[in-house]
Amino acid sequence: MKSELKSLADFSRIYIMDEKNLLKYLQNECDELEAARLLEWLSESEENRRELFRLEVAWQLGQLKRYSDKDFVREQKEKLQERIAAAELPRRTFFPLRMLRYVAACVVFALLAGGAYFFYTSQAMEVLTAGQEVEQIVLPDGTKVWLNKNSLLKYPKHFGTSKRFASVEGEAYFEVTKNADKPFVVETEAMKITVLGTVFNLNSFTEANTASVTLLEGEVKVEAKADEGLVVLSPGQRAELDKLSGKLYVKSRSQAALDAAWHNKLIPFEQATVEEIAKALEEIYGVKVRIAPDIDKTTYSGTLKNQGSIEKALRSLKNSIPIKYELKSGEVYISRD
Amino acid sequence: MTEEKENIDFEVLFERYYPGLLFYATRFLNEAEAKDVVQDAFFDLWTRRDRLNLGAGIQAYLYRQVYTRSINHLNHKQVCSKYSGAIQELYKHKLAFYESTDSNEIIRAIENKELRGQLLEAINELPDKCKEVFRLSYLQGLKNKEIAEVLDISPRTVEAHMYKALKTLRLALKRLFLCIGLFFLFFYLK
Repeated sequence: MKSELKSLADFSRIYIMDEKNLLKYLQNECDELEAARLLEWLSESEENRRELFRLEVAWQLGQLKRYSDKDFVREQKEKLQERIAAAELPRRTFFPLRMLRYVAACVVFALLAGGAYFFYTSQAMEVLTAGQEVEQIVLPDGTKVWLNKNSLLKYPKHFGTSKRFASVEGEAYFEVTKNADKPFVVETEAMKITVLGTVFNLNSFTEANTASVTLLEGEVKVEAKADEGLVVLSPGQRAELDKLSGKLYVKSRSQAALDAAWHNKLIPFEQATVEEIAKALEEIYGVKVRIAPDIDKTTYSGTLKNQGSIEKALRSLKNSIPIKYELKSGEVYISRD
Repeated sequence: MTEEKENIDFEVLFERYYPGLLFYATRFLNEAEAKDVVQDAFFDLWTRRDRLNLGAGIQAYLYRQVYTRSINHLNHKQVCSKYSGAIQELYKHKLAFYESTDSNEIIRAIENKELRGQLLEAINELPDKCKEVFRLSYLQGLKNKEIAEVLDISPRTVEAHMYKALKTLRLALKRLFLCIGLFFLFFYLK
Protein backbone atom coordinates (compact mmCIF):
# COMPACT_ATOMS: atom_id res chain seq x y z
CA MET A 1 0.00 0.00 0.00
CA LYS A 2 2.73 2.33 1.01
CA SER A 3 4.85 1.47 -1.99
CA GLU A 4 1.83 1.90 -4.27
CA LEU A 5 1.33 5.42 -2.94
CA LYS A 6 4.98 6.12 -3.39
CA SER A 7 4.95 5.00 -7.01
CA LEU A 8 1.84 7.05 -7.65
CA ALA A 9 3.60 10.08 -6.22
CA ASP A 10 6.63 9.28 -8.36
CA PHE A 11 4.44 8.92 -11.38
CA SER A 12 2.72 12.25 -10.91
CA ARG A 13 6.03 13.96 -10.18
CA ILE A 14 7.55 12.54 -13.32
CA TYR A 15 4.44 13.33 -15.29
CA ILE A 16 4.43 17.00 -14.28
CA MET A 17 8.13 17.31 -14.78
CA ASP A 18 7.71 15.89 -18.23
CA GLU A 19 5.04 18.37 -19.17
CA LYS A 20 7.32 21.27 -18.35
CA ASN A 21 10.24 19.58 -19.97
CA LEU A 22 8.24 18.75 -23.04
CA LEU A 23 7.22 22.32 -23.47
CA LYS A 24 10.84 23.41 -23.23
CA TYR A 25 11.75 20.86 -25.87
CA LEU A 26 8.89 21.83 -28.14
CA GLN A 27 9.82 25.47 -27.86
CA ASN A 28 13.45 24.65 -28.54
CA GLU A 29 14.66 25.96 -25.19
CA CYS A 30 15.97 22.81 -23.55
CA ASP A 31 19.00 23.25 -21.33
CA GLU A 32 21.47 20.44 -20.71
CA LEU A 33 19.70 19.11 -17.60
CA GLU A 34 16.27 19.15 -19.19
CA ALA A 35 17.62 17.43 -22.26
CA ALA A 36 19.19 14.74 -20.04
CA ARG A 37 15.87 14.15 -18.23
CA LEU A 38 14.02 13.90 -21.49
CA LEU A 39 16.64 11.50 -22.79
CA GLU A 40 16.17 9.32 -19.74
CA TRP A 41 12.42 9.30 -20.33
CA LEU A 42 12.91 8.45 -24.00
CA SER A 43 15.15 5.52 -23.20
CA GLU A 44 12.41 3.98 -21.05
CA SER A 45 10.30 2.83 -23.95
CA GLU A 46 9.70 2.91 -27.64
CA GLU A 47 6.26 4.33 -26.88
CA ASN A 48 7.76 7.37 -25.14
CA ARG A 49 9.92 8.04 -28.14
CA ARG A 50 6.93 7.85 -30.43
CA GLU A 51 4.93 10.12 -28.19
CA LEU A 52 7.59 12.80 -28.09
CA PHE A 53 8.13 13.02 -31.82
CA ARG A 54 4.46 12.70 -32.65
CA LEU A 55 3.78 15.46 -30.17
CA GLU A 56 6.46 17.57 -31.78
CA VAL A 57 4.79 17.20 -35.17
CA ALA A 58 1.36 17.94 -33.77
CA TRP A 59 2.68 20.94 -31.88
CA GLN A 60 4.01 22.50 -35.03
CA LEU A 61 1.39 21.25 -37.45
CA GLY A 62 -0.24 24.68 -37.30
CA GLN A 63 2.61 25.91 -39.49
CA LEU A 64 1.14 23.78 -42.24
CA LYS A 65 -1.72 26.22 -42.52
CA ARG A 66 0.75 28.97 -43.30
CA TYR A 67 2.59 26.80 -45.83
CA SER A 68 -0.71 25.91 -47.50
CA ASP A 69 -1.55 29.55 -48.15
CA LYS A 70 -2.35 29.84 -51.87
CA ASP A 71 -0.28 32.99 -52.46
CA PHE A 72 2.69 31.50 -50.64
CA VAL A 73 2.57 28.30 -52.70
CA ARG A 74 2.18 30.24 -55.94
CA GLU A 75 5.16 32.37 -55.07
CA GLN A 76 7.28 29.29 -54.42
CA LYS A 77 6.03 27.69 -57.60
CA GLU A 78 7.03 30.73 -59.62
CA LYS A 79 10.50 30.59 -58.11
CA LEU A 80 10.82 27.01 -59.24
CA GLN A 81 9.50 27.85 -62.69
CA GLU A 82 12.06 30.61 -63.03
CA ARG A 83 14.79 28.17 -62.12
CA ILE A 84 13.48 25.63 -64.59
CA ALA A 85 13.23 28.26 -67.32
CA ALA A 86 16.82 29.35 -66.66
CA ALA A 87 18.02 25.75 -66.85
CA GLU A 88 16.02 25.03 -70.00
CA LEU A 89 17.18 28.12 -71.85
CA PRO A 90 20.44 26.83 -73.34
CA ARG A 91 18.98 23.72 -74.87
CA ARG A 92 15.73 25.12 -76.10
CA THR A 93 15.72 27.10 -79.36
CA PHE A 94 13.12 29.79 -79.23
CA PHE A 95 13.61 30.88 -82.83
CA PRO A 96 13.97 28.80 -85.90
CA LEU A 97 17.61 28.67 -86.95
CA ARG A 98 17.11 30.96 -89.94
CA MET A 99 15.56 33.63 -87.74
CA LEU A 100 18.48 33.28 -85.38
CA ARG A 101 20.85 33.99 -88.25
CA TYR A 102 19.08 37.30 -88.97
CA VAL A 103 19.12 38.21 -85.31
CA ALA A 104 22.84 37.47 -85.17
CA ALA A 105 23.46 39.58 -88.26
CA CYS A 106 21.51 42.49 -86.74
CA VAL A 107 23.44 42.23 -83.50
CA VAL A 108 26.78 42.22 -85.31
CA PHE A 109 25.75 45.17 -87.43
CA ALA A 110 24.56 47.13 -84.39
CA LEU A 111 27.82 46.42 -82.60
CA LEU A 112 29.87 47.53 -85.61
CA ALA A 113 27.79 50.66 -86.12
CA GLY A 114 28.02 51.51 -82.43
CA GLY A 115 31.76 50.91 -82.43
CA ALA A 116 32.23 53.03 -85.53
CA TYR A 117 30.16 55.83 -84.06
CA PHE A 118 32.13 55.66 -80.85
CA PHE A 119 35.39 55.73 -82.80
CA TYR A 120 34.06 58.55 -84.98
CA THR A 121 33.10 60.82 -82.08
CA SER A 122 35.90 59.94 -79.73
CA GLN A 123 38.83 60.72 -81.99
CA ALA A 124 40.51 63.51 -80.05
CA MET A 125 42.29 66.45 -81.64
CA GLU A 126 44.91 68.40 -79.75
CA VAL A 127 46.51 71.72 -80.49
CA LEU A 128 49.39 72.88 -78.35
CA THR A 129 51.03 76.27 -78.75
CA ALA A 130 54.46 76.65 -77.31
CA GLY A 131 56.50 79.45 -78.85
CA GLN A 132 55.50 83.02 -79.41
CA GLU A 133 52.80 82.28 -81.94
CA VAL A 134 49.07 82.54 -81.46
CA GLU A 135 47.25 79.90 -83.45
CA GLN A 136 43.82 80.08 -84.99
CA ILE A 137 41.81 76.85 -85.22
CA VAL A 138 38.45 76.22 -86.85
CA LEU A 139 36.47 73.52 -85.10
CA PRO A 140 34.23 71.02 -86.98
CA ASP A 141 31.12 73.13 -86.31
CA GLY A 142 32.75 76.30 -87.67
CA THR A 143 33.58 77.73 -84.25
CA LYS A 144 36.76 79.78 -84.36
CA VAL A 145 39.30 79.47 -81.60
CA TRP A 146 42.42 81.52 -81.11
CA LEU A 147 44.85 79.77 -78.86
CA ASN A 148 47.34 81.93 -76.98
CA LYS A 149 50.95 81.00 -76.24
CA ASN A 150 51.65 77.95 -74.07
CA SER A 151 48.08 76.75 -74.25
CA LEU A 152 46.42 73.48 -75.10
CA LEU A 153 43.09 72.92 -76.85
CA LYS A 154 41.39 69.53 -77.06
CA TYR A 155 38.32 68.79 -79.14
CA PRO A 156 36.82 65.75 -80.88
CA LYS A 157 37.24 65.31 -84.62
CA HIS A 158 33.46 65.07 -84.77
CA PHE A 159 31.09 66.54 -82.22
CA GLY A 160 28.46 64.30 -80.59
CA THR A 161 24.75 64.58 -81.20
CA SER A 162 23.66 66.48 -78.09
CA LYS A 163 26.58 68.69 -77.06
CA ARG A 164 29.82 70.13 -78.36
CA PHE A 165 32.69 69.56 -75.96
CA ALA A 166 36.13 71.13 -75.93
CA SER A 167 38.72 71.66 -73.24
CA VAL A 168 41.36 74.30 -72.70
CA GLU A 169 44.45 74.73 -70.61
CA GLY A 170 45.79 78.24 -70.84
CA GLU A 171 44.16 81.08 -72.76
CA ALA A 172 41.78 80.92 -75.68
CA TYR A 173 39.41 83.22 -77.48
CA PHE A 174 36.21 81.68 -78.82
CA GLU A 175 33.79 82.74 -81.51
CA VAL A 176 31.22 80.01 -81.12
CA THR A 177 28.97 79.16 -84.04
CA LYS A 178 25.34 79.47 -83.03
CA ASN A 179 23.48 76.23 -82.53
CA ALA A 180 20.76 76.35 -79.87
CA ASP A 181 20.20 72.57 -80.07
CA LYS A 182 23.80 71.73 -79.34
CA PRO A 183 25.26 73.76 -76.50
CA PHE A 184 28.97 74.33 -76.67
CA VAL A 185 30.75 73.32 -73.48
CA VAL A 186 34.31 74.31 -72.68
CA GLU A 187 36.02 72.75 -69.72
CA THR A 188 39.16 73.77 -67.92
CA GLU A 189 40.63 72.14 -64.86
CA ALA A 190 38.68 74.56 -62.66
CA MET A 191 35.66 75.72 -64.66
CA LYS A 192 32.96 74.69 -67.04
CA ILE A 193 31.52 77.20 -69.48
CA THR A 194 28.31 76.50 -71.34
CA VAL A 195 27.40 78.62 -74.34
CA LEU A 196 24.96 78.58 -77.19
CA GLY A 197 26.66 80.95 -79.58
CA THR A 198 28.87 83.76 -78.35
CA VAL A 199 32.25 85.38 -78.33
CA PHE A 200 34.31 85.11 -75.20
CA ASN A 201 37.83 84.97 -73.93
CA LEU A 202 38.95 82.27 -71.56
CA ASN A 203 42.03 82.48 -69.40
CA SER A 204 42.81 79.43 -67.32
CA PHE A 205 46.46 78.61 -66.84
CA THR A 206 47.04 75.71 -64.52
CA GLU A 207 49.75 77.48 -62.53
CA ALA A 208 47.77 80.71 -62.02
CA ASN A 209 45.65 81.26 -58.93
CA THR A 210 42.77 82.75 -60.85
CA ALA A 211 40.95 81.73 -63.99
CA SER A 212 38.71 84.09 -65.88
CA VAL A 213 36.13 84.30 -68.60
CA THR A 214 35.33 87.58 -70.33
CA LEU A 215 32.21 87.74 -72.42
CA LEU A 216 32.14 89.94 -75.48
CA GLU A 217 28.88 88.91 -77.12
CA GLY A 218 25.89 86.73 -76.26
CA GLU A 219 25.53 84.80 -73.06
CA VAL A 220 27.58 82.20 -71.22
CA LYS A 221 27.07 80.14 -68.12
CA VAL A 222 30.16 79.70 -65.99
CA GLU A 223 30.44 76.95 -63.39
CA ALA A 224 33.23 76.36 -60.94
CA LYS A 225 34.04 72.67 -60.93
CA ALA A 226 35.07 72.37 -57.30
CA ASP A 227 32.15 74.31 -55.93
CA GLU A 228 28.51 74.79 -56.70
CA GLY A 229 29.09 78.31 -57.91
CA LEU A 230 27.37 79.23 -61.15
CA VAL A 231 27.07 82.61 -62.85
CA VAL A 232 25.52 83.79 -66.08
CA LEU A 233 27.51 86.52 -67.75
CA SER A 234 26.27 89.40 -69.84
CA PRO A 235 28.46 91.01 -72.47
CA GLY A 236 31.16 93.17 -70.91
CA GLN A 237 31.28 91.11 -67.78
CA ARG A 238 34.13 89.03 -66.58
CA ALA A 239 33.89 86.02 -64.26
CA GLU A 240 36.93 85.42 -62.12
CA LEU A 241 37.45 82.21 -60.25
CA ASP A 242 39.69 82.25 -57.22
CA LYS A 243 41.01 78.71 -57.42
CA LEU A 244 42.16 78.70 -53.80
CA SER A 245 38.85 79.66 -52.23
CA GLY A 246 36.72 78.21 -55.01
CA LYS A 247 34.74 81.47 -55.16
CA LEU A 248 33.45 82.90 -58.36
CA TYR A 249 33.34 86.70 -58.75
CA VAL A 250 31.68 88.72 -61.46
CA LYS A 251 33.26 92.01 -62.50
CA SER A 252 32.19 94.61 -64.96
CA ARG A 253 34.72 95.25 -67.64
CA SER A 254 34.37 98.51 -69.52
CA GLN A 255 37.01 97.53 -72.02
CA ALA A 256 36.15 93.86 -72.25
CA ALA A 257 37.76 93.56 -75.68
CA LEU A 258 41.12 94.26 -74.12
CA ASP A 259 41.05 90.81 -72.59
CA ALA A 260 40.93 89.41 -76.06
CA ALA A 261 43.31 91.87 -77.69
CA TRP A 262 46.04 89.26 -77.93
CA HIS A 263 44.15 87.07 -80.36
CA ASN A 264 44.13 89.29 -83.42
CA LYS A 265 46.75 91.83 -82.46
CA LEU A 266 44.09 94.53 -82.62
CA ILE A 267 43.22 96.67 -79.67
CA PRO A 268 39.73 98.05 -80.11
CA PHE A 269 38.63 101.24 -78.40
CA GLU A 270 35.13 102.54 -78.21
CA GLN A 271 34.56 106.05 -76.91
CA ALA A 272 37.58 105.78 -74.74
CA THR A 273 39.35 108.72 -73.12
CA VAL A 274 43.12 109.07 -73.32
CA GLU A 275 43.26 107.97 -69.71
CA GLU A 276 41.39 104.78 -70.51
CA ILE A 277 43.58 104.10 -73.54
CA ALA A 278 46.65 104.63 -71.40
CA LYS A 279 45.41 102.12 -68.84
CA ALA A 280 44.80 99.58 -71.60
CA LEU A 281 48.31 100.04 -72.95
CA GLU A 282 49.68 99.72 -69.45
CA GLU A 283 47.88 96.41 -69.13
CA ILE A 284 48.81 95.03 -72.51
CA TYR A 285 52.48 95.92 -72.51
CA GLY A 286 53.10 95.77 -68.78
CA VAL A 287 54.63 99.25 -68.73
CA LYS A 288 53.75 102.00 -66.28
CA VAL A 289 51.99 104.85 -68.09
CA ARG A 290 51.66 108.32 -66.55
CA ILE A 291 49.38 111.04 -67.90
CA ALA A 292 49.83 114.76 -67.66
CA PRO A 293 47.01 116.48 -65.75
CA ASP A 294 46.17 118.74 -68.70
CA ILE A 295 44.88 115.86 -70.82
CA ASP A 296 41.18 116.45 -71.64
CA LYS A 297 38.24 114.06 -71.52
CA THR A 298 37.69 113.78 -75.25
CA THR A 299 36.74 110.21 -76.26
CA TYR A 300 38.09 108.32 -79.23
CA SER A 301 36.94 105.21 -81.08
CA GLY A 302 39.05 102.99 -83.29
CA THR A 303 41.36 100.06 -83.41
CA LEU A 304 45.00 100.07 -82.55
CA LYS A 305 47.26 97.40 -83.98
CA ASN A 306 49.20 95.45 -81.41
CA GLN A 307 52.73 95.87 -82.67
CA GLY A 308 54.80 94.07 -80.09
CA SER A 309 56.14 97.15 -78.24
CA ILE A 310 54.48 100.08 -76.53
CA GLU A 311 56.62 102.54 -78.41
CA LYS A 312 55.34 101.33 -81.80
CA ALA A 313 51.77 101.45 -80.47
CA LEU A 314 52.24 105.01 -79.21
CA ARG A 315 53.71 106.08 -82.52
CA SER A 316 50.57 104.85 -84.31
CA LEU A 317 48.35 106.44 -81.69
CA LYS A 318 50.07 109.79 -82.10
CA ASN A 319 48.93 109.83 -85.72
CA SER A 320 45.28 110.00 -84.79
CA ILE A 321 45.21 111.54 -81.31
CA PRO A 322 46.89 114.85 -80.41
CA ILE A 323 49.35 113.56 -77.83
CA LYS A 324 53.04 113.36 -77.32
CA TYR A 325 54.87 110.75 -75.32
CA GLU A 326 58.14 110.28 -73.64
CA LEU A 327 59.88 107.10 -72.46
CA LYS A 328 61.95 107.52 -69.35
CA SER A 329 63.48 104.75 -67.23
CA GLY A 330 60.87 102.16 -68.19
CA GLU A 331 57.93 104.49 -67.75
CA VAL A 332 55.83 106.33 -70.31
CA TYR A 333 54.66 109.92 -69.96
CA ILE A 334 51.78 111.13 -72.08
CA SER A 335 50.91 114.79 -72.41
CA ARG A 336 49.00 117.12 -74.70
CA ASP A 337 50.55 117.88 -78.00
CA MET B 1 0.20 19.87 -76.48
CA THR B 2 1.67 16.99 -74.55
CA GLU B 3 4.25 19.30 -73.05
CA GLU B 4 1.55 21.69 -71.95
CA LYS B 5 -0.32 18.88 -70.27
CA GLU B 6 2.89 17.81 -68.61
CA ASN B 7 3.41 21.33 -67.29
CA ILE B 8 -0.06 21.47 -65.84
CA ASP B 9 0.43 18.10 -64.19
CA PHE B 10 3.67 19.27 -62.71
CA GLU B 11 2.04 22.44 -61.39
CA VAL B 12 -0.78 20.45 -59.85
CA LEU B 13 1.74 18.13 -58.29
CA PHE B 14 3.66 21.06 -56.85
CA GLU B 15 0.60 22.72 -55.37
CA ARG B 16 -0.60 19.44 -53.94
CA TYR B 17 2.59 18.42 -52.17
CA TYR B 18 4.58 21.60 -51.56
CA PRO B 19 3.08 22.62 -48.16
CA GLY B 20 3.42 19.14 -46.62
CA LEU B 21 6.93 18.63 -47.92
CA LEU B 22 8.04 22.02 -46.65
CA PHE B 23 6.59 21.21 -43.23
CA TYR B 24 8.34 17.84 -43.29
CA ALA B 25 11.66 19.47 -44.12
CA THR B 26 11.23 21.91 -41.21
CA ARG B 27 11.31 18.85 -38.91
CA PHE B 28 15.07 18.88 -39.51
CA LEU B 29 15.97 22.28 -40.91
CA ASN B 30 15.11 25.92 -40.47
CA GLU B 31 12.55 27.40 -42.83
CA ALA B 32 14.99 28.94 -45.31
CA GLU B 33 16.99 25.73 -45.62
CA ALA B 34 13.78 23.72 -45.87
CA LYS B 35 12.58 25.87 -48.78
CA ASP B 36 15.83 25.22 -50.64
CA VAL B 37 15.66 21.48 -50.05
CA VAL B 38 12.06 21.18 -51.25
CA GLN B 39 12.75 23.28 -54.29
CA ASP B 40 15.76 21.12 -55.11
CA ALA B 41 13.60 18.00 -54.83
CA PHE B 42 11.00 19.40 -57.23
CA PHE B 43 13.67 20.65 -59.61
CA ASP B 44 15.26 17.22 -59.62
CA LEU B 45 11.86 15.68 -60.30
CA TRP B 46 11.43 18.02 -63.26
CA THR B 47 14.78 17.15 -64.81
CA ARG B 48 14.09 13.44 -64.45
CA ARG B 49 10.45 13.53 -65.46
CA ASP B 50 11.17 11.63 -68.69
CA ARG B 51 12.79 8.71 -66.93
CA LEU B 52 10.60 8.52 -63.83
CA ASN B 53 7.31 6.79 -63.92
CA LEU B 54 6.08 6.84 -60.38
CA GLY B 55 2.33 7.05 -60.66
CA ALA B 56 0.83 6.57 -57.21
CA GLY B 57 4.26 6.28 -55.66
CA ILE B 58 4.98 9.95 -56.22
CA GLN B 59 4.09 10.98 -52.66
CA ALA B 60 6.40 8.45 -51.03
CA TYR B 61 9.10 9.33 -53.53
CA LEU B 62 8.92 13.07 -52.82
CA TYR B 63 8.93 12.63 -49.04
CA ARG B 64 11.87 10.26 -49.27
CA GLN B 65 13.70 12.78 -51.47
CA VAL B 66 13.07 15.60 -49.02
CA TYR B 67 14.16 13.45 -46.08
CA THR B 68 17.39 12.33 -47.74
CA ARG B 69 18.23 15.83 -48.91
CA SER B 70 17.54 17.24 -45.44
CA ILE B 71 19.81 14.69 -43.80
CA ASN B 72 22.53 15.37 -46.35
CA HIS B 73 22.20 19.04 -45.61
CA LEU B 74 22.46 18.36 -41.87
CA ASN B 75 25.54 16.19 -42.31
CA HIS B 76 27.06 18.82 -44.49
CA LYS B 77 26.43 21.46 -41.86
CA GLN B 78 27.45 19.06 -39.05
CA VAL B 79 24.67 20.55 -37.03
CA CYS B 80 24.71 17.78 -34.43
CA SER B 81 28.24 18.53 -33.31
CA LYS B 82 27.38 22.06 -32.28
CA TYR B 83 24.86 20.90 -29.68
CA SER B 84 25.72 19.53 -26.24
CA GLY B 85 25.77 15.79 -25.57
CA ALA B 86 22.17 15.24 -24.40
CA ILE B 87 20.58 17.47 -27.04
CA GLN B 88 22.66 15.74 -29.66
CA GLU B 89 21.45 12.37 -28.35
CA LEU B 90 17.86 13.58 -28.55
CA TYR B 91 18.45 14.59 -32.13
CA LYS B 92 19.82 11.15 -32.95
CA HIS B 93 16.67 9.59 -31.50
CA LYS B 94 14.61 11.88 -33.63
CA LEU B 95 16.45 10.98 -36.81
CA ALA B 96 16.09 7.28 -35.93
CA PHE B 97 12.37 7.84 -35.50
CA TYR B 98 12.09 9.41 -38.95
CA GLU B 99 14.30 6.71 -40.43
CA SER B 100 11.92 4.01 -39.16
CA THR B 101 8.47 3.13 -40.45
CA ASP B 102 7.09 5.59 -37.90
CA SER B 103 7.82 8.33 -40.45
CA ASN B 104 4.96 6.92 -42.51
CA GLU B 105 2.40 7.85 -39.88
CA ILE B 106 3.89 11.35 -39.67
CA ILE B 107 3.55 11.73 -43.43
CA ARG B 108 0.01 10.46 -43.14
CA ALA B 109 -0.76 12.96 -40.39
CA ILE B 110 0.59 15.72 -42.62
CA GLU B 111 -1.22 14.60 -45.74
CA ASN B 112 -4.52 13.62 -44.17
CA LYS B 113 -6.80 16.61 -43.83
CA GLU B 114 -9.30 14.74 -41.72
CA LEU B 115 -6.74 13.94 -39.07
CA ARG B 116 -5.53 17.52 -39.05
CA GLY B 117 -9.11 18.64 -38.62
CA GLN B 118 -9.47 16.40 -35.59
CA LEU B 119 -6.42 17.93 -34.03
CA LEU B 120 -7.83 21.40 -34.62
CA GLU B 121 -11.07 20.30 -33.04
CA ALA B 122 -9.21 19.20 -29.93
CA ILE B 123 -7.63 22.63 -29.77
CA ASN B 124 -11.00 24.27 -30.23
CA GLU B 125 -12.27 22.52 -27.15
CA LEU B 126 -9.73 24.30 -24.99
CA PRO B 127 -11.03 27.09 -22.71
CA ASP B 128 -11.13 30.44 -24.54
CA LYS B 129 -8.10 32.13 -23.02
CA CYS B 130 -6.05 28.98 -23.26
CA LYS B 131 -7.08 28.56 -26.90
CA GLU B 132 -6.15 32.13 -27.70
CA VAL B 133 -2.70 31.66 -26.22
CA PHE B 134 -2.15 28.35 -27.93
CA ARG B 135 -3.36 29.49 -31.33
CA LEU B 136 -0.83 32.32 -31.31
CA SER B 137 1.87 29.75 -30.77
CA TYR B 138 0.38 27.03 -32.94
CA LEU B 139 -0.75 29.00 -35.95
CA GLN B 140 1.44 32.08 -35.83
CA GLY B 141 4.55 30.57 -34.33
CA LEU B 142 4.93 33.27 -31.67
CA LYS B 143 7.26 32.77 -28.70
CA ASN B 144 5.94 32.81 -25.12
CA LYS B 145 7.38 36.25 -24.51
CA GLU B 146 5.75 37.62 -27.64
CA ILE B 147 2.41 36.10 -26.73
CA ALA B 148 2.61 37.71 -23.27
CA GLU B 149 3.20 41.08 -24.94
CA VAL B 150 0.44 40.67 -27.52
CA LEU B 151 -2.17 39.62 -24.96
CA ASP B 152 -0.80 41.85 -22.21
CA ILE B 153 -0.54 39.02 -19.67
CA SER B 154 2.41 37.77 -17.65
CA PRO B 155 4.80 35.19 -19.18
CA ARG B 156 3.93 32.88 -16.28
CA THR B 157 0.26 32.93 -17.28
CA VAL B 158 1.22 32.18 -20.87
CA GLU B 159 3.25 29.23 -19.64
CA ALA B 160 0.35 27.93 -17.55
CA HIS B 161 -1.96 28.07 -20.58
CA MET B 162 0.62 26.32 -22.68
CA TYR B 163 0.90 23.44 -20.18
CA LYS B 164 -2.83 23.04 -20.25
CA ALA B 165 -2.93 23.06 -24.05
CA LEU B 166 -0.09 20.60 -24.19
CA LYS B 167 -1.91 18.20 -21.87
CA THR B 168 -5.03 18.33 -24.03
CA LEU B 169 -2.97 17.87 -27.15
CA ARG B 170 -1.23 14.83 -25.70
CA LEU B 171 -4.55 13.16 -24.98
CA ALA B 172 -5.95 14.07 -28.39
CA LEU B 173 -2.82 12.70 -30.03
CA LYS B 174 -3.22 9.34 -28.39
CA ARG B 175 -6.64 9.08 -29.98
CA LEU B 176 -5.42 10.51 -33.23
CA PHE B 177 -2.52 8.16 -33.78
CA LEU B 178 -4.72 5.27 -32.89
CA CYS B 179 -6.85 6.41 -35.82
CA ILE B 180 -3.78 6.70 -38.03
CA GLY B 181 -2.78 3.21 -36.99
CA LEU B 182 -6.21 1.83 -37.88
CA PHE B 183 -6.11 3.78 -41.12
CA PHE B 184 -2.79 2.24 -41.96
CA LEU B 185 -4.01 -1.21 -41.04
CA PHE B 186 -7.05 -0.70 -43.23
CA PHE B 187 -4.89 0.10 -46.23
CA TYR B 188 -2.56 -2.73 -45.42
CA LEU B 189 -5.36 -5.27 -45.37
CA LYS B 190 -6.81 -3.89 -48.52
